[in-house]
Amino acid sequence: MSKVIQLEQISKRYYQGKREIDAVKNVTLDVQKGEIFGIIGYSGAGKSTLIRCVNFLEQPTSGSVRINGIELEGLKRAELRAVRRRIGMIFQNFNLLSSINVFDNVAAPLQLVKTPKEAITKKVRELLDLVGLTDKEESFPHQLSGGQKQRVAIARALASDPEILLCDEATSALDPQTTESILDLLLEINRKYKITIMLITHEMHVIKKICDRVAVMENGEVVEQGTVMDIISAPQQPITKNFIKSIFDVTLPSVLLNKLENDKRPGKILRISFVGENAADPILADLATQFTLRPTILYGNITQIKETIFGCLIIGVTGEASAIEAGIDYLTQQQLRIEVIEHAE
Amino acid sequence: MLNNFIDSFSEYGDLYVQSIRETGAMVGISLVISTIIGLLLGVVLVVTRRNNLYENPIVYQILNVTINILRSLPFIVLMVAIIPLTKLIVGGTIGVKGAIVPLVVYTAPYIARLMESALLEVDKGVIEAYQAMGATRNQIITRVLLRESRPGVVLGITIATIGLIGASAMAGVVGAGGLGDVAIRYGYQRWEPAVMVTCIVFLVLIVQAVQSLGTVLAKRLRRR
Repeated sequence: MSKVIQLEQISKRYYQGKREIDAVKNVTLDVQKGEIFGIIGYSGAGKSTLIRCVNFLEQPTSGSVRINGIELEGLKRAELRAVRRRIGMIFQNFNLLSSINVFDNVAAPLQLVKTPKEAITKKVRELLDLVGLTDKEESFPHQLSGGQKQRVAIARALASDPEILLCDEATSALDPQTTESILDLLLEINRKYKITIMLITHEMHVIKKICDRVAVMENGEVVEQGTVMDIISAPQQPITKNFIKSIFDVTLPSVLLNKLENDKRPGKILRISFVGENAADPILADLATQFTLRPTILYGNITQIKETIFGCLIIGVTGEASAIEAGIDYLTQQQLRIEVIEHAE
Repeated sequence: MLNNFIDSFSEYGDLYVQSIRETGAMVGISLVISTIIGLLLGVVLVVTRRNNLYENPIVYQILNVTINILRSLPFIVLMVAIIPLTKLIVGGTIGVKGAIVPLVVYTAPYIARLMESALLEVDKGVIEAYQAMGATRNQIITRVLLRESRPGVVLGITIATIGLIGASAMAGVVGAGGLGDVAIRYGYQRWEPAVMVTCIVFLVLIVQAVQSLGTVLAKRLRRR
């Protein structure tokens, strides 16, 4: 797998009057060819500045940005423009030209490099077909809904056949349903054209739905990164846990916790995380029949992370201490992630 | 009263036609030249700002201060003060051509400021989007700045035209003629109220027409 975007020790410092603001601090990350890489963080975390460093809309104060191995620092203006033409970008506020119609907006990147008219028309029609706006060619941006504007922006970003698509909070100004349809479109583009996508968002849902890998940013730093599955199933940082809570709450209600604490029966509380097809295995029945344990379901949740099923079950088991140990061993052998979260003794 | 008007019309009919023509010529020619210069200066004022396409504090400050100085002078003072320059450029200071130089020197800086504010209205995000797609700086000026600011530019030129009509009335001082000149010489100095009122009516009608035209055009250009 080749690295399409390589960020190494990126820092960006601003001056607001005499005050120094470190928007991005020592960020290192790679984006592989064909993947969808998400950066999540609250507003002010520096993610917007970071994604602007990728195409040098912001020049980093220090560090190295490489696109397909080409170091951007020190490039001549014309060379940088050539790199930028390989990188499409869409924005939270769409950033379409209000004075020209949909066709001309989509055609813009091609007109900049003086593409022949017939080729432009062909390409624009093809892209409008892809984004589902064939009948809006003559419309002006103010006549379109937010979702339609973002579709035009996506078509425009794809006009120069880029290898990379940068999405700066592309769904943040859209309602939930429109967000879904735009995410589906991004996923389709990623698969159909093998375009590498790097996006920033403050919504865990966006990460869960389309990203392969994710980096979590806080105060200008990447505090955690990994595959979306790993981050969701075993978050390390408090901020990450907070984000995950928004889509997948695995904390036990306090009423239940109190009740369990007062329970004097010997036993343990287990959190079982399962991924993919073993979600369907009858593990609870096995615990009861093979180990003579008494499992009680306390809490359960199941969700889909991109195409993979991910579930989490919190159970209480009572029985002989040795039987409980054997049961945990058995579960571990079933490729399940087991955490003993509390002793109820 | 009405007879007065009819008399003054039949007596001065040719004078009105002539003076409207003179006003038209002064305003028309100076407007074209001022708009070209003003638009150019307006673009320079915007792109040489901090964090802009051609950031250049020295050029920006020189232009900024020069425009402020020119804009501080009332037209009547400016016109007299720059007589040597007018002579140098058009070879004389009398008549319509003598009025055009001061009118341009007066109006171009005004238009530059109006263009500056119209261009600054352009969404920074759109400029960023064009930078991201690999547009050159000049492409951003012509394809984004000038195109997106068209409604504001048209409204600015409308305002400047009306200011220019006002200033051209004072150009009567250098013998350039025009409606203002007729109003002063016949209406005031010879005390013929009918002429004064007629001139005022013409000026009001012209200004109304210019403003309406500008408003309609700007509205058609504004696509939001």
